Amino acid sequence: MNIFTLLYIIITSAAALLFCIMAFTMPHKSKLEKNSKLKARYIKQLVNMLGEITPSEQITARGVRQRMALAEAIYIVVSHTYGIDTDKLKQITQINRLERFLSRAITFSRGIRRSHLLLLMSCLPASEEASDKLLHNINSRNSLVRTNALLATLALKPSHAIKTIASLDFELQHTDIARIIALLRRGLLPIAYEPLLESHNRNLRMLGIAIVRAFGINIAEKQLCHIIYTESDNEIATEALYTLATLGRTLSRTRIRERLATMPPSQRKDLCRHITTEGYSLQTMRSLFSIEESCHAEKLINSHKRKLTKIAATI
Amino acid sequence: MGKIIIYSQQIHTATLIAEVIADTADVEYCDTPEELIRHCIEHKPDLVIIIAIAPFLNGSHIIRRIRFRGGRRPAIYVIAWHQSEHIVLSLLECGVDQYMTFPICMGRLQSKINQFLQSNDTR
Amino acid sequence: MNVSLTIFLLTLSAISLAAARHTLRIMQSIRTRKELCDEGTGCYESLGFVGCSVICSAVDNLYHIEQLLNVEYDRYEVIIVLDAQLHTEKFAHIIAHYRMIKVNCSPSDELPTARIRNLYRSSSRNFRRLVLIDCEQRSAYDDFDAAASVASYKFLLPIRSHTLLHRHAIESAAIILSESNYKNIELLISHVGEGGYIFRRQTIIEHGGFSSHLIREINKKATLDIYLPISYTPHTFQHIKPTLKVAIFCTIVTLFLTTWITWGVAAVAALGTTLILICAAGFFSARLYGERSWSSYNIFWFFRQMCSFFRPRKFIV
Repeated sequence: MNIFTLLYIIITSAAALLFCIMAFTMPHKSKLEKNSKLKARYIKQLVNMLGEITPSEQITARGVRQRMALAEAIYIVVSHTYGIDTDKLKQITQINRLERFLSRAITFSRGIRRSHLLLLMSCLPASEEASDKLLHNINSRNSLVRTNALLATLALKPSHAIKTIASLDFELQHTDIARIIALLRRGLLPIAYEPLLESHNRNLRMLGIAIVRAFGINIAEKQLCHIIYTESDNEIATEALYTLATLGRTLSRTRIRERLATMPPSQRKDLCRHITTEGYSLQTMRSLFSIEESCHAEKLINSHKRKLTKIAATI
Repeated sequence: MGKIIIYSQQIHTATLIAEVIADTADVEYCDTPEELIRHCIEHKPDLVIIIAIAPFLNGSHIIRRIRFRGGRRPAIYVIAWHQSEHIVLSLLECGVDQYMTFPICMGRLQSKINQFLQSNDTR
Repeated sequence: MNVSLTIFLLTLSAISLAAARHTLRIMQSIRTRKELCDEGTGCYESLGFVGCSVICSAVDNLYHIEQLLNVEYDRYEVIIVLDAQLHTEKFAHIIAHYRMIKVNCSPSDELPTARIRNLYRSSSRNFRRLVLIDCEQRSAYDDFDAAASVASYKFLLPIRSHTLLHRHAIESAAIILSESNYKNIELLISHVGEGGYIFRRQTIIEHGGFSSHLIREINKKATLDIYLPISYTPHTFQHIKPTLKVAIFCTIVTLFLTTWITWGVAAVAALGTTLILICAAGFFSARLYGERSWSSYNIFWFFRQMCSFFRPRKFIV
């Protein structure tokens, strides 16, 4: 047996063994359950403590495992609730030195692990200095790290939210926007939709449109129409058009029709289907699309209707 | 003390909700629809909290099975992230009593459940 | 060392590296999905208005339909295609269970191959996501064409009988498809487990409907390969055709015998460890996406996906 064959056998055997060990240890039920139980215990303690006027006992976490479980418990509680007492949370964070613990862990981790830690950080009532330390992560090449760093920065420095988003040198994706909206729903960000819609920054405009849609702000119709008429970025204009349709506002306007005429046929067709599912009338379709497209829309609308005369005849 | 069953596939979210309302009622937790139905038959709860919307949209007729004939008719509350109108209307039309969206206010949820259990007792 | 043995060892090394690379990609994708779809991230109701229509051929089981409808993503629908004349009882059962009513249906101007006899939608708002099509049973491609012609959303996910969706499959596909880098993507191919294809509806129309050579016709630049599990069948190795099983067995035995005769025991050991490595990698990735037990079926699929590079680009249902 020559040395290369032997070497190959050793390496592949080691790799196979490694995969087997990973497969068997990965779900490690007992460890998972242990962590899960610890997290559940902390959630219970947190809820009880946040509910009491004068908390009787302190929540303590010692060691990496307990601190991590506590940080995850805080994340679960904070991400699912609003209006909780941040002073009490701050106290827990300080007593257990969670901010320092997470900051160090973020420094020494990378990839998805780092993004998870950043997500946990976004729910901690940490100091503003902590957000400064996270700033460099916003420019990370990993999109998940980037997004979670942004969320953490927004949560830690809510007053700088618009400035932070405006200074981003990457495009916010729909997933990122959905997660920022989740922060808004928790009442963390003091952002009004109007300046966002009026901004010339792509990310701010997209966020503004998403806020209008998520909170059903019908009074933003005028601003949305303005975006549709004037926006040079086709993606933003399309987003505004879809949002207007989702809100059920009037679409049969000359300038909207003009904008639609500049869109590629496939996009027009997609929009046509969207408008149909939103329940617009055939008359609106005819006013917006060409004869061929409105024929298609008519068929679509009809496919949501029942021919009553025929049914009556069969009865 | 009233009986409440929570159904969720997300164990920690269920723990959170269970803990919020733990002072007001006996709370049971289950993570499969079958277990939920079994719990409803065995424990005859006053209220069922479901943290998901899919069981109402998939045709499993979960409400009919929870409120089985001859049994107690518990109230059904749903808590989820969805905000779209047609989902809310779908849930209410198929028999859900209350729909709440995440994030929730712990105090409000507690008082809402309290109020419900008290009015249920007086009935 | 003789040249042929060197080439043999290099080939084995390439296979081992491919297995390791495939597993690492799956691991990375699944960890990302876990991070994006975890308990606290909130709901992705309608990401960039990306919607997905699951189009089903030969799905007639109520339990199966229930599983397909068990998706929390908002912009989603399930379109079932069935021949009411052939499956009268099952068809009636679906109509009764989901309170479906016949609605108007005119021939499609987009897909002339779609010949729909009747179209049914539910009178209940909560089953609005289900559409039932009655059309003559021909091939699965014709069924998919019929479903695509009435689909409401931009993306189509074809599903065959016994195929189920992985948890968060639709959400994770929507997350990917909503990204602005991928706005021109026409086809998304999953290379995990039994795989899965998500087509842009417009692409199907432009190519005149579904066919076996559809994937070949789609520009490779408009195709996105992902390493996330989308669909699966609750099958085991028993479900693999006996002829295929015999072929696999014969290939392995022949490979070992040839190696032994040509290069001796050391080469056989190298081949053996390579096969063990592939099995271990397959087992590990199956555990990653939720399969609970050791399954030779999963390893078989892992190997198939690894070799997908050499297979012709065909859409086989």
